[in-house]
Amino acid sequence: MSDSKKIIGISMLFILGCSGVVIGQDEEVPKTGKGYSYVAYLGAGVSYFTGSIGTPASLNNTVRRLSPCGTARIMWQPEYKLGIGFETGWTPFYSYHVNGGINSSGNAEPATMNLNTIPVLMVFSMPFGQHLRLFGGPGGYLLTSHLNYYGNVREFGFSFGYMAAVNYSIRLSDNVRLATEIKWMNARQTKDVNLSAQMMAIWKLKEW
Amino acid sequence: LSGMERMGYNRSIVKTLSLLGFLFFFISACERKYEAPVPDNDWPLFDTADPLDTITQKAMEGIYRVTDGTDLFGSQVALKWSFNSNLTDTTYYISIFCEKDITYYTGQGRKTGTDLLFNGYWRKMVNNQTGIARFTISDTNGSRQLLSKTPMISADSITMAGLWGSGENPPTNNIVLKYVRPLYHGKAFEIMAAHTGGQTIDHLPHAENSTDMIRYSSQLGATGIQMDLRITSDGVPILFRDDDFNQRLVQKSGLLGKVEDYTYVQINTFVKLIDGQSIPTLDNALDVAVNGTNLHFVWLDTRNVGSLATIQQLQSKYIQIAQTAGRDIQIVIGIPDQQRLSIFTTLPNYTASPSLCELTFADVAATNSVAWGTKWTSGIQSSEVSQIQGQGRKAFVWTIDDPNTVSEFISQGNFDGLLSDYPTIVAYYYYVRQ
Repeated sequence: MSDSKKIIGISMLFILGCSGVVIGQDEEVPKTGKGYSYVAYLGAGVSYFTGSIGTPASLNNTVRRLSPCGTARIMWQPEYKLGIGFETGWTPFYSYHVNGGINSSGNAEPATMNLNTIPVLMVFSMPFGQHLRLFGGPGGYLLTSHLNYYGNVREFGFSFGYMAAVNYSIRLSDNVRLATEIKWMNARQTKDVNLSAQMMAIWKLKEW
Repeated sequence: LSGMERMGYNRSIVKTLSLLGFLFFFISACERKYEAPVPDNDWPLFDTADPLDTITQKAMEGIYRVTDGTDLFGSQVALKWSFNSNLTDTTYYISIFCEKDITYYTGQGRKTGTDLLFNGYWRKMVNNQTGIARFTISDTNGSRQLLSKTPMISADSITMAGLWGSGENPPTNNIVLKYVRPLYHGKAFEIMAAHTGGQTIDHLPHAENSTDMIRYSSQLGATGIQMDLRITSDGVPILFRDDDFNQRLVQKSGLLGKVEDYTYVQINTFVKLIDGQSIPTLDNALDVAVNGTNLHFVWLDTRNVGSLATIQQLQSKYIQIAQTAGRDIQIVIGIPDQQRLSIFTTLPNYTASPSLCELTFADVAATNSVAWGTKWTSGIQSSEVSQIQGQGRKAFVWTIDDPNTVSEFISQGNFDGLLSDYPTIVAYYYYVRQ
């Protein structure tokens, strides 16, 4: 079994296990008599690319896996626990710098390559007690690659995939919470896997 | 919410999450890795044996009855030798083509004393099963006759006895082949391998559209190959099938997007085919096809190209090289649609450039194409084939992968060649003809 499959398995066992634990626990937000709400999440932090980069072995390269990243998410939260929403953001997956001496004519020519993504994901959420909330869902990753080597080439691609995240929040006011989130993103088609840690602000935009 | 309602909500949540979990595991299971690695068939006795001469190889070629081991090879097989070469060495390969499960066997042959030894591996193309198989032809089973200067071969005069196994396991299952008759060598017929030998998704030992696959294509029974051509942003023709770089065909590198947007030096530096080879230029590929194989026909299938000028120059260069070397090989530029017909007819002296036109007979005549190509879905088209052959041109049909359809087109059709992703099954049905 590959590492990513193990992660999926462990994540799902965790979710399923926890889902039994939460029966009977308190709601994350105290009941106000209103059942539905729109909640926005805005976050920023650092991401670490955990997948294989696959630079050709013959290249003497320097890889950068750690990058700043951001998340924007909006959730529709009904009166029952399972919420649904949409997520996007910006995550640089990785970049590498090749230190020259690599072309067939023997010329030293430095090269850089960047791969970034904008996720477009459907997200389900589930609270666990007053502070913890799990997110997960399928979708796609809009990818951009930028190669600078004997000229610039900027290209776009798409990969189906999914994400899972654990969010721990504390209440600042009736409508605002502050959170930290650990998120795992998997662009399955292109085998790009990423882990991020972010600080998040959460606003209850509308309640009815 | 009342206690009862709350319990109901919680139950529905658990059910929903269970369903999501099941879906994740289901998707995960569907993405099981599918590979067919060539087994390690190290055989010390074989390693110290001497090479076979080509007289012995030629004498062995024929149709064999399978008397033991029909589970693997079916009841009848076709055995043929091929070779490929580089600047310093020529290597000969034995191949066995089977109808059952589109199975083939390939390996090498040697002799020790009066025993002939054959060491190789088998592969089923209907799945990913593969394994080691070894044969011996002993003194009492025909080796003395095969090693003579003028072998006299008749039915049952050769018996190949051997063992086969699955995967990397040592071979322990019996297999026996008995010579029946020579291979069919009636009407000339090109066994055309698509994508230089087969598809990467079929997990052959080499990537499609690669120089290693061109060399390997003869072991798959091909007498001709089709190459998928694209042109880089700086005008270099390369072999690549898809519009964009994807992990079906190339190793991960981070590069996305259209092949045509990159220069050759960018592609050659950063992109490797799925088996680690570099993407070949047309120049590399034709060099291997002309100088490293015995292929008779190369179909340059142009995909999304803006100009055919460089392709025409390379075609001309390698036709000259082949003629100088005495090689019997045709290199044709494919004209699959009106757009590429328009581009082709802008080339200087285009009627002198051998081409394969897939359009109307009028277009075939206007381009002076040496061959006409047609889809198999149009049927056997006996009268059209006769008409084109009457003009001194060849008729090819593409792309047939279903064994029953291959058999039907070979036995009932009159085409000069058939393009397939599975050349071994085409070779089988062609050579077993009587």
